[in-house]
Amino acid sequence: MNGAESNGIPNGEMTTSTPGLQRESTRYRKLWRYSVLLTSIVALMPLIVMMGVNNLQYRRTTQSEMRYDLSRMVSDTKRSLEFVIRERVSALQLVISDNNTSDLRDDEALARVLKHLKASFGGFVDLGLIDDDGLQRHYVGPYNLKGTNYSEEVWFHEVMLRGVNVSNVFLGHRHFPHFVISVKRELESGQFVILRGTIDMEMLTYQIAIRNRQGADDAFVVDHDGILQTQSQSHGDLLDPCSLPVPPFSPEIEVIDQPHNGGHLLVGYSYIEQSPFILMAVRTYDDHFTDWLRAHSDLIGFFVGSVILIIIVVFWSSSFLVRQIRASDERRAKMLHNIEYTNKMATIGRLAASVAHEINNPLAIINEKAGLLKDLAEHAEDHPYRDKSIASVDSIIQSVERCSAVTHRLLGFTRRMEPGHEMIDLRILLQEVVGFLGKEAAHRNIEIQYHFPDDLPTVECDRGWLQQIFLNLVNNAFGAVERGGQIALSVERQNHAYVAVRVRDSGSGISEENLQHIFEPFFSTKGQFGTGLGLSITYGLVQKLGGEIKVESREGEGSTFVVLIPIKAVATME
Amino acid sequence: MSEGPTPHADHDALAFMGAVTASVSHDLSNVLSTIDQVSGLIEDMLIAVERGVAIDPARLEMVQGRLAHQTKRGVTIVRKLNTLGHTTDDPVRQEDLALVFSTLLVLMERMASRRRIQVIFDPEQTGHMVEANPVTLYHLLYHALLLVMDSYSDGGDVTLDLVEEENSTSISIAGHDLASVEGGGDRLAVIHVLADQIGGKAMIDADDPGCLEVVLPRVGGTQE
Amino acid sequence: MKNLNLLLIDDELELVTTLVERLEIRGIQAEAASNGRDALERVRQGHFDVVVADLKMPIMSGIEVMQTLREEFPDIKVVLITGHGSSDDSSQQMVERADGLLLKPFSIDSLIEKVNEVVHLGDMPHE
Repeated sequence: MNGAESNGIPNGEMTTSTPGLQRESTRYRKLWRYSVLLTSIVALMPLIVMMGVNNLQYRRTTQSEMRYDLSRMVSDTKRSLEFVIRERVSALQLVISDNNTSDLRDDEALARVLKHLKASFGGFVDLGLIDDDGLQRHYVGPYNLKGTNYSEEVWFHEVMLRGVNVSNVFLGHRHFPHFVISVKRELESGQFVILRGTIDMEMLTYQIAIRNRQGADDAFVVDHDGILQTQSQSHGDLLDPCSLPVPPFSPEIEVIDQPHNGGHLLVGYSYIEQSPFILMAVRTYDDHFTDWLRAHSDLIGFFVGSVILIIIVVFWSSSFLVRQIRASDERRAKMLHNIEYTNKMATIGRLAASVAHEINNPLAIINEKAGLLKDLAEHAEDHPYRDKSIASVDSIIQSVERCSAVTHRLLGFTRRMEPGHEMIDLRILLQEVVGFLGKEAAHRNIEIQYHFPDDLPTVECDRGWLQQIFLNLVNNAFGAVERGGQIALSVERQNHAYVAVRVRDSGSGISEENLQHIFEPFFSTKGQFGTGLGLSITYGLVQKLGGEIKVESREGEGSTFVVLIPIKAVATME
Repeated sequence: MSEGPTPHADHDALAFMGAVTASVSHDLSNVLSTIDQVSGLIEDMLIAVERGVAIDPARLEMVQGRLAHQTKRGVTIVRKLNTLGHTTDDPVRQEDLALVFSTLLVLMERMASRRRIQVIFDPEQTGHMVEANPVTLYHLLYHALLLVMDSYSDGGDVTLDLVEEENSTSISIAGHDLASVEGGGDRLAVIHVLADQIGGKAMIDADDPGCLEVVLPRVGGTQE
Repeated sequence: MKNLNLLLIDDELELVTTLVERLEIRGIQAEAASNGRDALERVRQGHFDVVVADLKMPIMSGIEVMQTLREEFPDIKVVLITGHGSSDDSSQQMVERADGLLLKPFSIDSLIEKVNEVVHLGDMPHE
């Protein structure tokens, strides 16, 4: 962020650029940065935290809603699936226990049973009767599987052991997904007979589809080895291993968080009783943030608006603050400088006054004593050096008088007047002043340039003093330039309170050392017109008018005197 | 402006005194020359009487009138010169501007007549009191008058007026065109410095570029 | 000498009129003028042999009067009256081109003597 300049922090109105000033300006830029940082943190933090909390809460509620939906769906579906399976198991058990085994050993009778089962329950594809040696004695269905030996099959052993078996899904000879339900009946003879029915997997897939109207993105069935028993939309094809791990066994319906491909999945599952099946329902919730954005668009708008507003205010207020600080720093520095200068001048004045005062007393004594000497000499008529003595004493008395005239002037037995209050157009006044010097300008071929704006306020000021100030400055400029030189006069509004008048000359400039003393009394560089009082009087007058005077000069490049005149008259300080 | 010393040098009050006494001594020398000639004329007339020529009493009266006039003139000049000499007596004192001007105008008579300047001033405008260092006050008003006199290149009237204001007395010295004065800038700067020394100010009238206004603090005005 | 016609110019009118009267008593024709312009007018109207002019006068200085006379009336002699020798260098040269100089104050006899002197100068060839 280096927006210090662009944010309008003034770079100082000083015309001279020094390394110190450079350092100053980086100091203010730093200050500005701190201010921006601190205020934005303080102002934005609660807002951001609030938004974060809101987001978190939203996420929690949506997640728990999702969990609830998912577990309900899983629970519904599980019940349906279990019902479908149990119903068919029961049907087969009923068939095998109700009928005489010999009845079933008749293909025609078996076909009739299959027809009934198909009509009552649906999903049955074929039926087979298997003896305890594993041989399929009878079979009704679309394939010719009579005489197939199942004695080596796992399900056969299962059914022998438990009496009921629900198999995994497989394609088999039939080339469509199905599973097999087998039930055992113990005959009086101690032998077994097994009724085996093939169920179209469509029965289960259909149940899943109708239950999963909402709540899950994907719902499918896997077996305990993780092989997909139904088609999944995004986790693998039928009979392929599922891309999700097999969830741990639980008798309940579970909803778990499952990391997957860098994202998160919400997985609901349930082990289906009496079957090797696990029902799984998957929901992605990656997009909950956009959901949140959508759901809270007004809130977000408010947030974004506030942030922008806060940032604007922070930038503005920081700039303003730093500008104020800088301005007050500069004001203070200037004031210190002024105080220093005024003190210096006052000290010079006081010093002169006290010296004058101290000298006055001995002068009075000298005067008296000299008078006495004169009287004595006048009376001593026979004194050999009488006339000489009288003449000497007279010259002493005269010198004393001259001294006391000087001291009295130093003591400043003068009255001061209040400044007048006239409305003055500085442009006209300056032209009058220059007009007064016009003859000399023409004589010496000096070019005088005016830079006067059209809109300039009149100032409420003392005409005489202004004339004196500017005559002095312009006269000075005349003194500074050579034949054919240039003098430029410009007036501009400095700010709401001051008008600045600049008198620039193309002369030889003033050395840095002299610049420091230029407004001091009795300081004269060229003995311009001898007294060295001109600029110190000018300085005093400008002060008295509540204005300011300064000089910018470089040797060889001419000088510019800048006078700030208050637009409205101020009460005099003295 | 040959007896008006150059502004670079005349800042010194001593130079001002010198300029005035040089000019006045010229006047006095004229007065004495005239008296000398008149007395010579009387001598001539006495010789004629000895030769038996009758004297016309009217002529004698005229000669006496001349003597009286020149004597009076000489006395006036000497008196005013004396007044100027006594300005160094006190560092500060109250001065009546009417008296200051009547003194200055006598002392500057020759400077005015050489420029063919008629100074119009009513010496009855008394009572405008100024408290100041007298040398500086005379010095200031001398420069002011001389500057305005030089605003004419071919003679004319300089009008002097005193106006009492609330805390100050304004002296307006109206001539022709101050901007036309050679070296006027430096001379006005000198006037400014002198005016400042006695707490006053000087400016060119805003409405009349031929009028110099000198404003001095009034006795009895607000004092700091 | 008796037939000479003098013109005296000085802004001190009482001084010159007194001088004129005293010259007349001595039988010398003289007139008085208080400034150069009046004086030149008189010269153009009448006949004058010698013009005595003060150096410092309003309107026209003695030198200006002399220069005009030299152009218009080269025969007229010019005597300049100088003050305390306080004139500047440039005019000093001009002053020396006058036929005669008189230092103020002067007696009537020294005036007459000076006038005689310059008139006799004219008897000799110029330069």
